[in-house]
Amino acid sequence: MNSRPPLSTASFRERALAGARYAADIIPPDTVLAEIVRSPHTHARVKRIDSRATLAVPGVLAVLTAEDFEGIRLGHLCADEPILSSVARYFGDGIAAVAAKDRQSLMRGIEALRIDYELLPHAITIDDALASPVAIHDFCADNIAEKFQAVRGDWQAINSRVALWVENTFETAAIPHAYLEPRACLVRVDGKRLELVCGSHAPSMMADFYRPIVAGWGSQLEVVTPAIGGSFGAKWEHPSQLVCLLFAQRLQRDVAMVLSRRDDMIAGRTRAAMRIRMRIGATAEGELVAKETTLWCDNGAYSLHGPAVMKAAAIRGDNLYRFSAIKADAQLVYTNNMPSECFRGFGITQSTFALEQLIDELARRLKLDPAKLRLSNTVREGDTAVHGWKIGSCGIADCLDGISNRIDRHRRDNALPRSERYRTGYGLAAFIHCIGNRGYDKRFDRAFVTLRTLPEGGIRISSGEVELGCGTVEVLIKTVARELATNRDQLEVVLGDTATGPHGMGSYASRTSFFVAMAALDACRRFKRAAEQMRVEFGMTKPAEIGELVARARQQQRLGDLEVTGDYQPSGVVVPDETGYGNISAAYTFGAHGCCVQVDTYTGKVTVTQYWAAHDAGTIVNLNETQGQVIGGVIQGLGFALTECASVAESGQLLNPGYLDDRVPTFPDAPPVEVLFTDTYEKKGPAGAKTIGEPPIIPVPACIANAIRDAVGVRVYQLPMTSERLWRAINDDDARSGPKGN
Amino acid sequence: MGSQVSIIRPSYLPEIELFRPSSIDGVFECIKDGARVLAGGTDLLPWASQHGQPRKMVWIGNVEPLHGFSVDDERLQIGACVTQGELIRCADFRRAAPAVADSVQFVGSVQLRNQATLLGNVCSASPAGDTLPALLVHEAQVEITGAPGQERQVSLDDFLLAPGKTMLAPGELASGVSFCGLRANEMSAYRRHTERRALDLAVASVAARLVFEADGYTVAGARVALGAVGPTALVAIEAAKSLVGHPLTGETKSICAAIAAETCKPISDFRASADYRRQLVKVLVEDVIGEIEQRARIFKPNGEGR
Amino acid sequence: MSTGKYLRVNGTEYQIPGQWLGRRLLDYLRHELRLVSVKEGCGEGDCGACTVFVDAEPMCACLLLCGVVAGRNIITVEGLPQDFRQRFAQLCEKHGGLQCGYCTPGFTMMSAWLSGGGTETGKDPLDKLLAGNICRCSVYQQLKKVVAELT
Repeated sequence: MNSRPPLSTASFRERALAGARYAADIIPPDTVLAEIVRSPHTHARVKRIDSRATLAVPGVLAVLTAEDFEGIRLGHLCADEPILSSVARYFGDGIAAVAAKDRQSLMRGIEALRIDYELLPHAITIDDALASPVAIHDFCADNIAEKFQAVRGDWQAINSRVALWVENTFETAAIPHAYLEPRACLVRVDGKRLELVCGSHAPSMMADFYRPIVAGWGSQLEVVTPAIGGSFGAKWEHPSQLVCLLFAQRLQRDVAMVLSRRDDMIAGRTRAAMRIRMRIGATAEGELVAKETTLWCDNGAYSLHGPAVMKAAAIRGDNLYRFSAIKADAQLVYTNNMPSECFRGFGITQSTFALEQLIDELARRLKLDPAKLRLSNTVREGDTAVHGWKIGSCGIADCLDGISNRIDRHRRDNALPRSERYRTGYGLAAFIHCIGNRGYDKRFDRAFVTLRTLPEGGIRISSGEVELGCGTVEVLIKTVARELATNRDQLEVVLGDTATGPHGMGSYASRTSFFVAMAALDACRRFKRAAEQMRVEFGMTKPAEIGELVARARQQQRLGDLEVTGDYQPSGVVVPDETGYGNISAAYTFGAHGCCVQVDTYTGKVTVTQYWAAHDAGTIVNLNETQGQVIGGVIQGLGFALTECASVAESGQLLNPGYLDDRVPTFPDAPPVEVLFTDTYEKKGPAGAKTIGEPPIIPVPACIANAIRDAVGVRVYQLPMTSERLWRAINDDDARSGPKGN
Repeated sequence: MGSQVSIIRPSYLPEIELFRPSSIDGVFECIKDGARVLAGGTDLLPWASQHGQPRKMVWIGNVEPLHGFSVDDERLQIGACVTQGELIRCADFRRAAPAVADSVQFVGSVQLRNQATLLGNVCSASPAGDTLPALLVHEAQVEITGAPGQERQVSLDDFLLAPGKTMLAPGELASGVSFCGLRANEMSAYRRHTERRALDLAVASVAARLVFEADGYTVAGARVALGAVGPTALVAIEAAKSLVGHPLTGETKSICAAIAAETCKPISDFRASADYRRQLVKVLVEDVIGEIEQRARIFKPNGEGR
Repeated sequence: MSTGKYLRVNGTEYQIPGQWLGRRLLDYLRHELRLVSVKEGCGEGDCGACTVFVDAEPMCACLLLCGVVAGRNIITVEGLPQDFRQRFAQLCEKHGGLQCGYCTPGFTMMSAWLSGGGTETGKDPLDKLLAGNICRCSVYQQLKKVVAELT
């Protein structure tokens, strides 16, 4: 098995030709199949599992239960998720697993399994969980998984400066990531060596996490990354992988699991739902002075990245404005819901829904133009923001100007009729975001790129970062082809292969393009140095063609000397302190969005008719892919704003596991999006670039909410802003009075 | 407290024993043998994946007579195997039954319409089934075959009993559906409310068919039907009656809408609350009538405007 | 009509083993014929990732049993003309018509159908005809350009 060549990562072209291979495409026909058997109860203790009938089904090979994973828990920040649980903590929690030689035997085996439960009272709302005498985890009596507090500035002093407070409570919904490729994994076994093939956005981190566990079984582990059909923050560690690993180790056979869409949504993860109470205070002239946030984050049954998500929501967005004083008080609450997880723009997307509506409301109260109010309060290059972010290149002013102009022009050119029934309105919202996060992993925030000259010719570029469709492969090929003056067809890219490539943190936090490009630049420098040394040694004349040199090196069996690894770690970044203070990122991205909505006041139905997204992503290197990320993020944000929601019954049962009722945007739902980029140059970035991954989703719900307010004079403080909720707000006199002020 | 409900069954299609007879007789043998009727499969197969049954299916696509499809001025006859895609592509069908044509185009997607049959949508008897209100206003009759040669016609209104329940008895086959085509001075339309623009179930829906006097404005006859606001699609008799004898004005439309909203029987569920559904009915009734007015002008008897 | 025990896939005839008559066409294509361009995204006909042609009309392979389509002509991306596939890929590059690529085979099939004059009433907006294909990366706007340039 060791002779299997590494799986080269599908380029854009291969994906366009339908030639990319995703995990489920790689599973050979005779592979043993596994399934996790899930609890139909929201909170229940498993009394007994009777697997005799299951094991008697011809073709069934093995059954696993909680005992087989004693002491093993998932969770980078708080290890609390069992692989298979003896207590079901949400509807769909995995209780047992079955492996069989084919799908039919597997299903028969699962249907024969008998599990007895003792039902426990469940809590699916934050309030219920806080009030509940029943602990969801034994180690956490009050169901508060973590608390976070931050206080900055002189709160005594600000009271005299604040002329106006605006305040409200906002709620955001849990939504599934709904990536189109359901989770799938394949474990190949070769004696003590296990190879996990699965589409994860952080394969090295996954290997780091699983290796000690697998070592406990006496085995070694490598992770291989095929094409990934979307992750959006979801595809980290998942019980399905460890279940397959253990089956494969025990059975000494290759084992695979492919989730169906329904099971993927039931057993998947969601964006964390939040309740955010927020107020901001300003002077009568519109200078932002203070912000206070009280936040409850629905962790779901297990923590995963809950603590980081909560902290990001509590303070990240504050860095956009020159607040003098900040208070944040947040709680991460265990409930009997699906575990929440990172989701594109985690935390900050939720809290921006609150902050940018309050800013808009403040502008209304002070009768100031909302773009101008923001312009006069945002951070600028050279600032140290309120939570310690050191602001480098900053194009927020151009973004706000760009959007403001687009809105004005649209308003002028489209004298939209204002009927009794249909109302039109415009909205605007802004954001700040980071590139990577030094605080995420205590060790480092870092990327490596290895260049290896292949015996058969060409150069292999390897990295532990992956391609999620954002253009990682293209960034690497472009960078290396340019720096080494070599043809693209001489370059092969292998991403996320822990056996042959370097370590990588993974494709999250909008870090990938920036980090891999920097590491690739470093690798190219080292490569050129090594090549130059070799040239001198071989006595070749300058300038030797790389190809010529490689031929000589091959002859002399010196190819190894042309293998180099480039390394990038941003300078000047720190692990923030426990209150979240510190410069976490090499550079920061900015943007402002605007939109025009039409509201049917009779039904509350909102139609976004035009959308503008202005971004400071540094100097744009790949226009198409960068633009594509923006448009895609906006449409995802539209779903989060208006239609998507994990609907949970009082029993805790997920009511809409599928695309029919979990309403992700479809083709006709997507409004035209015009994308604008500032011509910012980031001197710390590769060729002046910053990044784009998460930012486009961040301001969307607030932007649409502000346009709705403009159109009909009311707000819906709860996501998704469905037709019914807006219709109620329009018909509710209290809602018209708007947020409370003093 | 204890419980015997053990697991959530992973969603996969069970192993299905498939029969493919080429005659009605053959179909009945299979039905008698416990097989479920499979036509387009767009509702049945997802259901089977979730529930692990039925495991015996009889596919009726090989039975030639069930593919029959005729449109004449009086009545449209649609066999059990006629797909929604076939119907939409037929201009005569779209002209003869605009409300049904509207409704079919809301079902699923191009791909699903190529697979799903019209009668399948009827037999699924979903309260939100798009074609049901439209078929009701076109006075649809379901053809039930009890045994080879034993056929009866049942009005769609009687056929639909409850969510997912029809009056089809064990051993019976719904073999076709027929409904009125538009006559002179008639027009119909269907509208619905959904959160998304496509791939969604109606939160509420309304179909109407109006007959106008020769003046082109006074309503001589009316049928209104509502979807997703009761256990089955409903005929709104009183609402329709309120229009008859009057010209269409803002007032008559709003009276009709108000009666429809009062008489429907919506429930609250995770998709919407009952009172919001009533509001939607009110809005949609007026919208549908407005749509009919617009369309009717084009079809004025003297042919003006065509 | 489908009484036979043969499937015609991309021009080749295959005998369907008896146990496959009641199983999904999607699984037959993927597992037996290894035509893995046909993707499973939802298994319920909602996402369009498994779109194939059955006698030149697009359908969801996840909701078709092999026995139901026996004797009919099935075409997958692998069976589309090479020049069309290349042209589609070029246009995707030009307009950014994909990200993760998982929905791409389904959109390729729909684009082929549209460029061959596919329609329902003869005047359907593109939005309506492509509503059955979900792209969670949401490159709908870019795909619209791809299709517009193809047709």
